[in-house]
Amino acid sequence: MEVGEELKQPKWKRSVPKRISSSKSSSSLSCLINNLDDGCLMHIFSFLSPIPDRYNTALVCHRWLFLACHPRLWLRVEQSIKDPLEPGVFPSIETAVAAARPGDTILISAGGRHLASDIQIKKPLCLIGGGELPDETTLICSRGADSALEFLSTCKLANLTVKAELGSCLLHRSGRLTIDGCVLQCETNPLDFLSVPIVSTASAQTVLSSSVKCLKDGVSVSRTRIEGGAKAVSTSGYLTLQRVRVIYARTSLVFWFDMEQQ
Amino acid sequence: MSTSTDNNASITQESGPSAAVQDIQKKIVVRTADGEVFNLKEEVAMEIDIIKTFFQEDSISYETVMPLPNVEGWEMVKVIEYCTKHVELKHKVDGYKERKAFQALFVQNLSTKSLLALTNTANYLEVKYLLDFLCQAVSEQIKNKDVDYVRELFGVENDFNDEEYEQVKAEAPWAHENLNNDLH
Repeated sequence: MEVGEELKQPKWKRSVPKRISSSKSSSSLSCLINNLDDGCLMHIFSFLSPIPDRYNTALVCHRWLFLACHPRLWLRVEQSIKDPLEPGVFPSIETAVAAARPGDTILISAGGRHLASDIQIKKPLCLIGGGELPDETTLICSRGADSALEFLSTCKLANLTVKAELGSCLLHRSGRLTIDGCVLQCETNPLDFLSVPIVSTASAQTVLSSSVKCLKDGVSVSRTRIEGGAKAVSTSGYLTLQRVRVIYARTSLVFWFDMEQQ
Repeated sequence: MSTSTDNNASITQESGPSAAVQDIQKKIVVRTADGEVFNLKEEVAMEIDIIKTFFQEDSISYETVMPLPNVEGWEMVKVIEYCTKHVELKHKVDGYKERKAFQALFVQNLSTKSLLALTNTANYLEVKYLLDFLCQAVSEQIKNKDVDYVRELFGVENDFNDEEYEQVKAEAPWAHENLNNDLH
């Protein structure tokens, strides 16, 4: 079993079921669930929806954290599908997003170009590029579309390149968007003022009672290269740029900033 | 499969078990950890991959009693019950409701501890559909419960210290904040 090979955490071996004596005690019960091997426990977790159940199991103990967050439970987008019956593998980002449950993580395979045009994301998801560098996984937004991805929910993007031929890369409508270690590219000399890598139209903070945890709408960008576009960010709502840091590398600019309501 | 009821030589599922049929069907014998011995009908035994591999791929004679040192007697009873039902339903065209009713009954009186033991056994014996069903049954016990309840139910100790715990919680703010807005 290949579980745990790529990860540097302690390896869990496939365990042979131990025989427990018939005297009942809670410690023998704990032996029972932790006697199940990794594959078995992950299989159990795969039936749980990521939010809130799988997220809760990740908080139980170290081993469960490792298994509940394991890439084997992620959805994958692959350009060429070897086995059409394999569950959890999709030919396009749209189909993966449609099939995903709130809280799922989608791993987008490196190499090749993935089409992303006006894909609306209305549930909390995490999209991760499968390569070592963000440059290896590219999402292309073709000319006709306004943006590659439109976010109406709290989401996270990591290790991806989003390239918009015309129009914006990411359109943020509501929720908390986290962009970490990505590359956003727009047309270098755009005529259209909407050719901006990140556009946010998020407006006033939603009003919630104090007993409910809430996070204001916003965008959080870190270690991200932004190239092209009339400007890096455009906000037509109430969010403003804060805590901006830029590193001027030889050929590109790497940004850290937040967009929040003041 | 012959549909003619006059033809006694053919063995069909529809004709029902008769003494003559049961003699012709081969039996496989297994012994569990507690010394109990079970006679299984061949078609049921072949549902259990570990038994199938033992006899078919290794060409061991059916006379041999296969030892199952990791399985208890009561577990074997349950596994046989499930596999027998599965084989029976395989030949039925519309067995969905019956299967669901059977499944509900199957887990009805099982304690969490027994359910887990049985899951482990199904994994060891390699009966895929039983394992799928049992894993799903375990996940039903976890659904919509909070962390403390789950720890209590399965008797798992919390090995996070406060700092680590808060760190794990904080690592996915994108996932659990604003939930009430995001879950439609």
